[in-house]
Amino acid sequence: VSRHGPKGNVRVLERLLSAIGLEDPACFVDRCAAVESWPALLRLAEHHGVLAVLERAVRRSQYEPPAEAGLVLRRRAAVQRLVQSNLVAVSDEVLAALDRAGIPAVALKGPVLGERIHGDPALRVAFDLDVMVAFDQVPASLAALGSLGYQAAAADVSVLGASSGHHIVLRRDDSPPVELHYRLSSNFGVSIPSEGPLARSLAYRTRAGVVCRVLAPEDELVYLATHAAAHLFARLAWLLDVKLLLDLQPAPDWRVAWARAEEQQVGRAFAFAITRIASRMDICPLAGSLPPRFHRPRPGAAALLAASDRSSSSLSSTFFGRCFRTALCDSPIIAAADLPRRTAGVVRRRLGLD
Amino acid sequence: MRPKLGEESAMGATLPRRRGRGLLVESLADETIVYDTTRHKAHCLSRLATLIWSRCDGQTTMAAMVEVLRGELGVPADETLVRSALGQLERLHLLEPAPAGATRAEAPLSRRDLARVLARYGIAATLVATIVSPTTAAAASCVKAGKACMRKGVVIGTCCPKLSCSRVRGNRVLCQ
Repeated sequence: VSRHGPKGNVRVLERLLSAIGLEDPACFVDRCAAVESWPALLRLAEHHGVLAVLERAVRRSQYEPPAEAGLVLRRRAAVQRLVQSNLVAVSDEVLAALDRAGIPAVALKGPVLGERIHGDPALRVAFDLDVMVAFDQVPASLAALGSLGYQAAAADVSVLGASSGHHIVLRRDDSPPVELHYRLSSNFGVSIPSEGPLARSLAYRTRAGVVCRVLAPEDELVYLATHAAAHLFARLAWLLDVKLLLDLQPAPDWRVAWARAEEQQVGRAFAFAITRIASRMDICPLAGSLPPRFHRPRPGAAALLAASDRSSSSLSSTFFGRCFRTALCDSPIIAAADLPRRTAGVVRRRLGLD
Repeated sequence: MRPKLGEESAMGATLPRRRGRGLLVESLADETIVYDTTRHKAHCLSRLATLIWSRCDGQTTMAAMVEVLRGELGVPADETLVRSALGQLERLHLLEPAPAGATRAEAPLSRRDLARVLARYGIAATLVATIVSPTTAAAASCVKAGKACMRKGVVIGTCCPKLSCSRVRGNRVLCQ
């Protein structure tokens, strides 16, 4: 794509994605015209889960990529939409079952987010469904999803509520798995209980008419940004989620979002993530909203992230990734508790004790 | 003599029929993309294959399909061409299985033989191409024990029943 190597390739794709939805469509067309290799760009877009989004943007802009690349783009985008439409159907089925059982359930990420930010649930790539319920609703949720044929492993149920866990995985033959969250997340040394975000969540009706809940804008902003950071920003689709979420109404209130992040003890991770995402996706509204205490990021975090990305050895990549997450913990006490716990988890799994 | 796939019996029982379940379809300008949700495979049907497949309704005869191809594509189609296409569609599980007692018109052609048949009719394009993509691979039924389900924090597949994506190996997580 770019004569500047792999990093340059990603940057070309980032610039295309950041131009999606801009008021000046000529900007997107100009950036398309600057692409040096469409085949390489399409492989990258597919890897980052943004191929169908890119295809729609190209189609709407009426830009004509080289004929062969245009054909590949249309075909592969259609495949992605079809694969995801299967997930959309299962998502509606799962959310409807929980609604019938009277269980308030928040649809995290997945097709519901895709429908809200892209206007089409099949444009957002996901391979499983994330649904959050209150901790005391887990047994009823397991029963409701069990009636659809979804079952959790007995071993997973037995450790339900363990301090480090935040979801239980349910499976059904030939269907995507469902991750039933009883906590919002457990990253950066803290587990965030589901009850607070659930109480603030908003009612939502999917295109298919299924009623569910979605996170309040500020909760969702913090959640998506820290989720991307916890996964080392490995997919541009997650960065695009945040960019497009900021365009939704009601828009997140930045002051509330910062307060929420600090209350959940992920302020430092949120500051790092949102600064990084804003820079890569050309998000302007961030300017001036960063609280002064976060103006100087934790020393070394960016270097650890780069080392994790650059590392050729998988072991050192994992090590640097863990150190990056620890560096973004909100306090040294949390960090001191997190690193040994995470390391012990890795050792246990490597020894097959888990 | 037993009837063959694509031939009309007195009851019309062996006329080919599109698979009704487990297929998701999107039409593009000149081709059709079909995703098999059971086998997690995506196929790209050429216009010719689309014309034949769309008429596999259990009622359209081979002769009628030949007429459609001649009319719509202007190719000198005959039953051999239609039967070759039906053989490939059947091999890819895009048709309902032939009813008990019916036999195949002929064994499905190899890719090379099929290309030769198409070339005889002046058709250069592939009838049906299977598209391999990371999206379909990740959606494939399940990842077996010891295989990677996550790489660098990105989910690349789901573990088979009774396994969990929890065994860390470097920057990969394996099913166990």
